[in-house]
Amino acid sequence: MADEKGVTNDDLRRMMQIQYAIFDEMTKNQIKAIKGIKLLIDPPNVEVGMTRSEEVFSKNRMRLLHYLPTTEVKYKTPLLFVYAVINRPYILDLQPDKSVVKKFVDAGFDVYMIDWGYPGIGDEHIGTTEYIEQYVGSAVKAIKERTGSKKISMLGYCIGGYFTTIYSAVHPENVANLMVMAAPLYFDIDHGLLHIWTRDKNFNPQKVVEVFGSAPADFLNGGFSMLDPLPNTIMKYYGLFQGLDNDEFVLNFLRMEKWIKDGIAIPGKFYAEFIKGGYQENQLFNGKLTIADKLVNLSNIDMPVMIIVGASDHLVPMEATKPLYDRVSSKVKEILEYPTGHIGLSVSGKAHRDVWPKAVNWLAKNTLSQTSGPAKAAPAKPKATRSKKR
Amino acid sequence: MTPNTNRPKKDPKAPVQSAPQKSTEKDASDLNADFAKFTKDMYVRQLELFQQWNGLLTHNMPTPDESSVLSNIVMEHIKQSTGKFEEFMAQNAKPGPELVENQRRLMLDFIDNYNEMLKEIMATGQFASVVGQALSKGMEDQRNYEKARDQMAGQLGFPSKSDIRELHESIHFINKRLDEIERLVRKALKEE
Repeated sequence: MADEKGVTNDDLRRMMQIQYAIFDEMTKNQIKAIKGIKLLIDPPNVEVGMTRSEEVFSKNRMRLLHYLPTTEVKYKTPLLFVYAVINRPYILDLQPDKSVVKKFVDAGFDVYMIDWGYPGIGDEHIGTTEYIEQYVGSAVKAIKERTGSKKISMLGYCIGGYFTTIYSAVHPENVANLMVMAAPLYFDIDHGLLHIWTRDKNFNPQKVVEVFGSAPADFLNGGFSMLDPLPNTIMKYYGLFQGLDNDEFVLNFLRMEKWIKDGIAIPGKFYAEFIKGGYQENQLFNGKLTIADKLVNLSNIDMPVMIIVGASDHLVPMEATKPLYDRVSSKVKEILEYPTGHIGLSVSGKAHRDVWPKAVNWLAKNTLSQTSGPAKAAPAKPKATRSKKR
Repeated sequence: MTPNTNRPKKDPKAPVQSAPQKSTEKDASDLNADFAKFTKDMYVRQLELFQQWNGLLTHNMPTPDESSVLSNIVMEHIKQSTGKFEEFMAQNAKPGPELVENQRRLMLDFIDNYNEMLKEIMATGQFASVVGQALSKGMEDQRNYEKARDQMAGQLGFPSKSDIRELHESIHFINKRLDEIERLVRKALKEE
């Protein structure tokens, strides 16, 4: 039957069917949206950094953490993680099943980690030399004193990799093995948004430092979000919305959100030095970088080196890390390239399946070939520290 | 998201279709037209956005060549989006409950494309230059504001931010000196 306008019952049924489908979808979506908004407004406290540790040394705001062994310590040479001075180091220990730290602890390494704390007013004067000599240097000294080990192994992530590379070139006598992960070392490349944005003519880091003293975390995070603008802003919430019914997914999302929002400021002196000396002048590879008035020579790095890079790293393109391979004089050296991003290297399930077992084996093999005799266990109680934590 | 219900008015003189089969086909055709119109409207609005981006980024560009770099990026993406849209419409614009899913897929596809376009724009020297200039200006304004605030704090007898920074700097140099003394003492003890 049709009315005078030509609308039949079939038409009406079909229209109702469509409207119902839309209404049904909208209702379900609104219920989901309410759940999602509640989560974002008042997120439950999610645990991160769950591998047990103790503070064994501190200097200014920096703390040196020692991870308590979960098994017999098999390797004599301690391993020090040096994370970036951006965000917090617990990304390496985000959750038990995706913890780089735990992988090494469980394999029988004596593991330490530098936690930079939250630099604030008064820390503007900390530059590259201070980070290398006063902070990384003090941590290495503290570990050597605690363990009696003459050398330590280092794993540096992102700017932490920049530090460990420089430290290894300046003090090769202290470093048994060097692992560098997604580290910005070589800056003379024409892609990567950070490389383009910070080019000399476009950007003067000194202006940021003059105003803020340090580069504020929000300012840095704003820039990082723009590297992949829609996925990092709108689409991640769309992703949350899609996965709201999966508790494990929601927990992972909340842990990542906690980490992303837990940003730290970069001390002004280091920020200006890193942008100018790194992105704008490529000093480390041009042989012009000085630490405590001494030129840094990458060919001083003669210990075994492993370079770990993510092929789809937007933040530090792998071309910014891989050239280290050709500049060190190490006989044992290896590049481990994996199809993931900057953060994916430390938290993706696939990286934990494919990358980290290889990295652990590599370090185990090299450590065993360098040392003999039983490992000396570190004392259980934290050592008194000279500087008080602010 | 609902489909556009503002259908074009029918010609009253047009013959009334009474056969249900034909009417269903006509309805399907109307719905197709609605969906097409809705999606096209969405694209037109996004196109306007693209053009605004283009306008923003090419504003004050010194040479026509520089502005054409950005225009080319935007135009290339519009071309790609339009191509994808036409392809999608040919395959998926059918009435029924799957309409919602189709719209969702189309939107996701569009967002991906839009994201890539933004990244390409941001990778140009022009974008870096515009943002660099804006940042520089913003920092100068902020510095003037902080200077005025520090002066006011000083007049009221409060320590300013720079006073606190100076104090911290002094502490830093004392710490540095202590480290140096500690190093010398250790060295002396070792020599003994």
